[in-house]
Amino acid sequence: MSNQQERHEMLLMKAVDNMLSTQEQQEFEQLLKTHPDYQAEYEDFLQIKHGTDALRGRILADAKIEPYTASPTKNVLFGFSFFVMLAGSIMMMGCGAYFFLSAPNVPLWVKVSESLFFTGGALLFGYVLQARLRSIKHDPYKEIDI
Amino acid sequence: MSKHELMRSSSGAVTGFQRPIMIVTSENIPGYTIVETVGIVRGNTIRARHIGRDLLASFRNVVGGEVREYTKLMGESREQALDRMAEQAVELGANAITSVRLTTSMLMNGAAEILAYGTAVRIEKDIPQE
Repeated sequence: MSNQQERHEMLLMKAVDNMLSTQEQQEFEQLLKTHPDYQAEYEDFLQIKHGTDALRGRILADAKIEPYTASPTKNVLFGFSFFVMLAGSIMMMGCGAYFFLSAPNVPLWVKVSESLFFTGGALLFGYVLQARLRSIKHDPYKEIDI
Repeated sequence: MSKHELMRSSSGAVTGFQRPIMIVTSENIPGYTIVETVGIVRGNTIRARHIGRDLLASFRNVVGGEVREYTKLMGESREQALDRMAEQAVELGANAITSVRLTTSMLMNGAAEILAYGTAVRIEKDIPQE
């Protein structure tokens, strides 16, 4: 690319970005008169620029992010739903355990081993739950939203 | 390590913590000179949400859109991994970390596993030439 061509390209880019000085503006206008192919290229670039500018505006408008804990109502609704589901699951498990343990045709050793299995599971769960409840008070990361 | 200064986006969402150490992804820091390379530092974590949030996330998966529960989970994990990395750098006497990278792995379903690593360095501010 010759020096003159380089200069033309530079003027074209500056014109697209609306950064021409008064002297460069005159030079660019002269260039468009003498080189009509630059006129077409200039119009193409302007069209692309307008398109991408509009796109950027839309992306930024869409990027508005609400804080994770924005609505206390949502948190209460979530807490209530979760509590109801958890209570239902515990009642169902209790009901199943009652029928299983009171069934006359299930051998005693099966009842004992099942009871041991679930008691152990409940103890392990209690252990991790206690550890979590202890750490949650001092967990600084719960404040992070995104 | 101070974790109390929160960084917020324009919408008010908490995006991270201010740290008393410069953490960059580039090899150099403009305006500063690296006077000593201390060594590699890293921090990792695996975090999960509780089953209620996992359930909510799976419902969101059905209807589409952003799964906010896991967005938050990723944010928490990222900050914790970066904090652990920064803590190690401070312990080693560094005042900046360069070439920082974040990677992830897959050990558990519904858990965010993040490893942050970088090069701990000691930097000094360039004195402008008269």
